[in-house]
Amino acid sequence: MADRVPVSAPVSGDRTPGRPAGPGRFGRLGRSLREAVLGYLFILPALAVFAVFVFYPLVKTVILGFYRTPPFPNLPSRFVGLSQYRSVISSTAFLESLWRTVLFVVFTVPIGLVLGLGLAVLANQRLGGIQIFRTIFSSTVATSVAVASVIFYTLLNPEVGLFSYWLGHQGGAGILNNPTLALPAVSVVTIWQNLGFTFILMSAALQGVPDELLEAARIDGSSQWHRFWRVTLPLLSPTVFFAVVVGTIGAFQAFGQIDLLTQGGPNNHTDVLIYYLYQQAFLFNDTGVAAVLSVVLFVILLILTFVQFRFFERRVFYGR
Amino acid sequence: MTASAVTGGPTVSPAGGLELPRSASVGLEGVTKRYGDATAVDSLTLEITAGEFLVLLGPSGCGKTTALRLVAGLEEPTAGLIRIDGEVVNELDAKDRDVAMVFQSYALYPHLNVRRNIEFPLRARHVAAEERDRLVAEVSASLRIGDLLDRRPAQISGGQRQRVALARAIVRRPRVFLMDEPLSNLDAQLRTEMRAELVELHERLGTTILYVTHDQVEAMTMGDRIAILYRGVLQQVGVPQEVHDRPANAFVAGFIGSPPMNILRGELAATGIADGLQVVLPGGAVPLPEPLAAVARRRGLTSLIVGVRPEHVAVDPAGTLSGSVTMVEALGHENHVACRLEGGKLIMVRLATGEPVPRPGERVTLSFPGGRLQLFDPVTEERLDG
Amino acid sequence: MDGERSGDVERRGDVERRRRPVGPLVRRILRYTLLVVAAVVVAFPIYITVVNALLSPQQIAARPPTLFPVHPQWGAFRSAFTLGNLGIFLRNSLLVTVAITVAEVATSALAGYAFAFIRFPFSRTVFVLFLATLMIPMEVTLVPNRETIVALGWFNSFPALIVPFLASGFGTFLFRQSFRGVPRDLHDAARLDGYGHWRFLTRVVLPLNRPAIGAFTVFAFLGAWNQYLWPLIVTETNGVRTVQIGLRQLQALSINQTNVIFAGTVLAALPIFVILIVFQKQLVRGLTAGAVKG
Repeated sequence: MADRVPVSAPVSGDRTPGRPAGPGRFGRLGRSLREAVLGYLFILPALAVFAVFVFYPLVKTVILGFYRTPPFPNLPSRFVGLSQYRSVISSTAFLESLWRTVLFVVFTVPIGLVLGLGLAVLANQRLGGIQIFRTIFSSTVATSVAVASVIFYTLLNPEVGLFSYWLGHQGGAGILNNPTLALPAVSVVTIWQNLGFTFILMSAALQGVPDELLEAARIDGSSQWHRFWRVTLPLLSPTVFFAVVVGTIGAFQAFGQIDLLTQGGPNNHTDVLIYYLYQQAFLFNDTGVAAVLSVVLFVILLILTFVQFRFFERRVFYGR
Repeated sequence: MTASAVTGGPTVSPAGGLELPRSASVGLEGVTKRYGDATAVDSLTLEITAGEFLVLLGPSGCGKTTALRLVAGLEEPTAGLIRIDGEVVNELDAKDRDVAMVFQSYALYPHLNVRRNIEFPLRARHVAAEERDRLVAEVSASLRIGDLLDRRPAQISGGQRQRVALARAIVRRPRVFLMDEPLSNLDAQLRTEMRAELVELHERLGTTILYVTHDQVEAMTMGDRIAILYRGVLQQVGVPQEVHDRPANAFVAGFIGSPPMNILRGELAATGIADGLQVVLPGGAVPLPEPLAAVARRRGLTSLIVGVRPEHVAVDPAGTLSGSVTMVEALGHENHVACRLEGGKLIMVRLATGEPVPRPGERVTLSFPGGRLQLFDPVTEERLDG
Repeated sequence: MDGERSGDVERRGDVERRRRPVGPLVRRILRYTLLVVAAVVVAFPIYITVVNALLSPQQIAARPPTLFPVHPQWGAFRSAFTLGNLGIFLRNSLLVTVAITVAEVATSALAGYAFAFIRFPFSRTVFVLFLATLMIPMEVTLVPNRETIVALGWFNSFPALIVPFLASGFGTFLFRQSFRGVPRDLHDAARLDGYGHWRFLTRVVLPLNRPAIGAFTVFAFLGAWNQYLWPLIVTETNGVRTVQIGLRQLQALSINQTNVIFAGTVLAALPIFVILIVFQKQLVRGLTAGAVKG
């Protein structure tokens, strides 16, 4: 093996300056203490941010819900216990905004999912130039909610908007001011803006379907249609589920499109929960009511996230 | 060892700058490692002299790797003392123990090329660039990987990776090498080659090597001494021949050798001739030669465990043990014959070429010519000696 | 081995050939038609935005509408900077986004490493706390957080936009999972070679986990760039406002300046478009992280 074995100067602790190799520099306890300190140093930056901007405000929000905000500034707020929670949750304004949020979810999530999946299936073919189509289908990822909203707002402008013209709504109040059409319009913008993400998600999942399975099904004589429903879709179901939960959570947090397109109007017809919360908190400065709404929103999101976690805990989290 | 390190091979480059080889003794004193309820290493006491090549041998899960990691400082013992060069190192961090380890997986950094991998420990110790280059050139030339320095681990073969791992350990010039099944990922031919190279390397470097393996052939061919571990307990330490010829207990007997020793339980009975004894085994009785019979008599045993190496069993028409051949392994230079005795027990027979080989299914009788048996206590399974 | 592999290729070739049934041309035309129609529908809003940015307000309002930029005029982009203050907004967005992204990747990598490699008391409990932050979005804690910002004297300043987002539960989780893929032997080898946690992190773990880091970097960048609600409630002057809020002001321009509005949206989306093209792989990985494979 060795023509010449390097037997050079030992390169080890005793030669290294500044590192005493003697025993007891850190004892066994010292070593694990040092390890523990280092561990906490590593997590400290994140932990500090979370403490100040996540955990503390969450607790504070719950507490704020116990206090009724005075009608005029500079008056002390009054402790009312659970009564504010009760009154807000049973109020028509809240229930209506919750109902509109549910409608918004129903409008956006299933349609967005079907469209994204459809595009993904369409783009999952071996055809020349398919990459161009893939790029186009994922392109709306580059538009933020604000960009998408401003584009559609202008295109839906009753005077000069191209879409208003094509949809026969030129002149008049416009689609966004139409009580029946406003929420569907906001939903369309949301679906469009999310389409790129859904497409990317579904494409990745489709590419994860093993060719062998589809080929086996093909050899067994099943049709393309049959293969999609019986092989591909079942294998996609975890991703579909993920998309539904993430989409629903996203819909509950959808604020920008409401603010930019309708500001909750016309006549509160697009006043979803998060926008209602925003108005209470920052337009009417009713922190008490806003806090209760925040807690409700939190509970809803918590349940949704929990559903997601329970599912993914099995599949992904400890999948290693 | 010092001399061989300096003289090296015939194409030696000037030996300037060579220093004395480094090696240190390693001592374990009642070292125990527990994980919860499980005891991985049970009060292990073992003394490895400086410059020795000691093999820790045992089946998987016997605690040998844990013992190695304890010496490395990657694990902390639950009890006991670990010494390197006489100095207790329990409190010393792994990096300060001046030991290098070669891992079964080689543990090469996949994102670094071979040069950077070998340099890695040097950079940690802030060795100057020139010195670093010199050391890497030296070690890579001696391990014949000098032309691979710019490749990534993924771009070289398993054998080459093994050399890089060795180079990374050597380049530090540690006091002790710890090797954890370093050859087990190589194919059989390469493994044989590397065994020889490692032995040669040890002779040249003179550094203490603590070598873990489950392969008794490696242990027998490489180790100055072998320490056999089973269920965390040290079974026997000794030079290969001693371990082979005088196994301390039935476990060691059944673990060492290829194929290993046959271990049979039997009852003692009188032969009827003088006060001779015979062992009644499932397929018949075999006489116990006198020095061994005397041992059995002295202890007043009624049953015992008999060990007999496959090369000490003969297919013999006059044999007293009968069974049927279940399988014949023709290895070219010798043949292994598996016979099933009446009780269902398998016994291996090793036949040199030239000896007639029975066919599978054939009924044969066996004998133990020369009575080269080993006896073990039926309860403690300890070796019974005169 | 080699023979097997080439046989495999042949088999695949057979399947490929069988895949082309009778009338393949009709089928292909049909597929392309579907693709083109879908592409036109999806891309039209973006297309028309770019076109309109290059038209005069009169051309935009003209009926029947102009769908091609016959005489492109670039003035709207200049106006987006002058009238719409896009320059300041973009600068602010870039500053805030880069700061958040860098910090988020750093704090997540540190925490992810600690959870993956360092033994410290209560690490499991703390990790669960980190995971819990995934269930507590900013939308839920707006009121007290704004109060905190005001109390800290950060209202209408960059720290207000940056500091609350200096950590990410998702990033920590992602990195921990990814880092745990580093073999234990590498960690042990580095320890014996004299590398402490810090150098093992920077020299081994980070280089080995470039894919995960790239994916999360793009993910974090997108998230920070697209923020809307929080910047809206903690800023009040253009000097610190981000481009998303800038668009809100731009939208309010009169209908005689629609070309400026469109030009502004193009400018606001441009950085992300560039990222989409350059970092497509990381983007896809970032967006699908946790969904397909975790």
